[in-house]
Amino acid sequence: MTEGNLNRMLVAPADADLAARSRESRPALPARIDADPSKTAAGVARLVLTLVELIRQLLEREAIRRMDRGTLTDDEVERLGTAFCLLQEKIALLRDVFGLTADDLNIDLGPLGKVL
Amino acid sequence: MSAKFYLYAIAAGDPGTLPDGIGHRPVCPWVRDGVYILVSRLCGDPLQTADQEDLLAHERVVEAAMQAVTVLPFRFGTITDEPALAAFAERYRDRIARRLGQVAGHVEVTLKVLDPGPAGTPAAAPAAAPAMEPQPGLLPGSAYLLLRQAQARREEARRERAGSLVARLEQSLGTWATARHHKLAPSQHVLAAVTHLIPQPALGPWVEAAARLREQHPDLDFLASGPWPPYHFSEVTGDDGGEPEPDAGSAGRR
Amino acid sequence: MASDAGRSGVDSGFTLMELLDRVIDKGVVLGGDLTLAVADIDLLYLGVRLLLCSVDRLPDWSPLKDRPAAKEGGPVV
Repeated sequence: MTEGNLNRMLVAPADADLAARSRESRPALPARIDADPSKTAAGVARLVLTLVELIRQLLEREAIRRMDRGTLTDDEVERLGTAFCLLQEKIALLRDVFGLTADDLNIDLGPLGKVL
Repeated sequence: MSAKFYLYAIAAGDPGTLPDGIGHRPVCPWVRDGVYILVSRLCGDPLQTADQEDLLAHERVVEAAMQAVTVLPFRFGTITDEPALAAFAERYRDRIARRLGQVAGHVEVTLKVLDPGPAGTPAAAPAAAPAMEPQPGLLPGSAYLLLRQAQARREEARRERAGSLVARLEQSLGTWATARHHKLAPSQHVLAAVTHLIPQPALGPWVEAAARLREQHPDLDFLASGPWPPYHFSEVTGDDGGEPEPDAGSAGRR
Repeated sequence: MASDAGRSGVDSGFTLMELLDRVIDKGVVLGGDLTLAVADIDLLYLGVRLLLCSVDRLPDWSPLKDRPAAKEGGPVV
């Protein structure tokens, strides 16, 4: 049996390339990390980096909210921006080390919604 | 240690003969106090990974059962043991019965509006325009945060656009829906996803309305799919799963 | 279910993406259940690959081949 037996398109999109990216979200975080040792490192790294990235983004959002409210001085904006920027670079570096993509860290937390 | 079960769906009764399930394992109903759960027994086999064929097998079993009885499909990859299953059936028996009543004779359909992408976004974000161009001479940290601020505003504008679009879609499509689920800007390429639970006879009119919407919005790209088992309307354990009666509304992002 | 007809593999590709949005993200959740370890991620890539392949091999008559905003692939019920 192939997927050919399952067809549920009612109105097909005109843009096939776009449709190829029509998934709503990344899959949910696996409840269990694969026991294969070669994959375990990447799995743990994904989990840890995701949490670090989540915290970085939460802080960044808070900083942006304060910018919107105008409660930060120019100097504070500069220092915060530099810190977030550096942290992002470090995370990207570690991500590459473990062969992960930016998308791997943007996981869906199920009922909690997406990280980003 | 008890045997593991792979779970396909909760059923309103015995669906009769079903196709083979995951890894060509037979599927049978597990019954407790009138709660039917379609399962495959995993005999000492951990089944840690799955492939596309398993995914399709899951769907095949759910859809075959759906031909015979009302079903509440389980999320793909759900594995448990008998004590946990018994506890689940006992604890949620009433909610399961209510959900089954709600989805009986209904199917799930989804209309997605695809985002044309970067070409379409500038028009959508006039509010963000002042902050979009980092002024030359800015220090790098400030430039970075200003850029992120502009992105956040664009994202917010996109969600607002999706919200008003969904309201318009609901005006034409919502007529038939007995329950609905919205996602606003769930991903870069999807502007909005509207999922409806509709009575089976309404499928034709719903599809016609979806096709008309597409003609009315030549600037947008639509993708409609269905009829599906009621995956979006099967929740029985969560908070918003407990009350099937009114329009459960947008359980997407709050 | 009313919808069934022979259609191109492209539609199956879209269908697979839609299916992924359902069976992996939605459905009855059992408290404390196990989920298959790496299946979801592999499946996503699998789905994308399959779709890209099938778009390349679109038959000439497929309405998706040329992509005017004209309506095609309409109701199949």
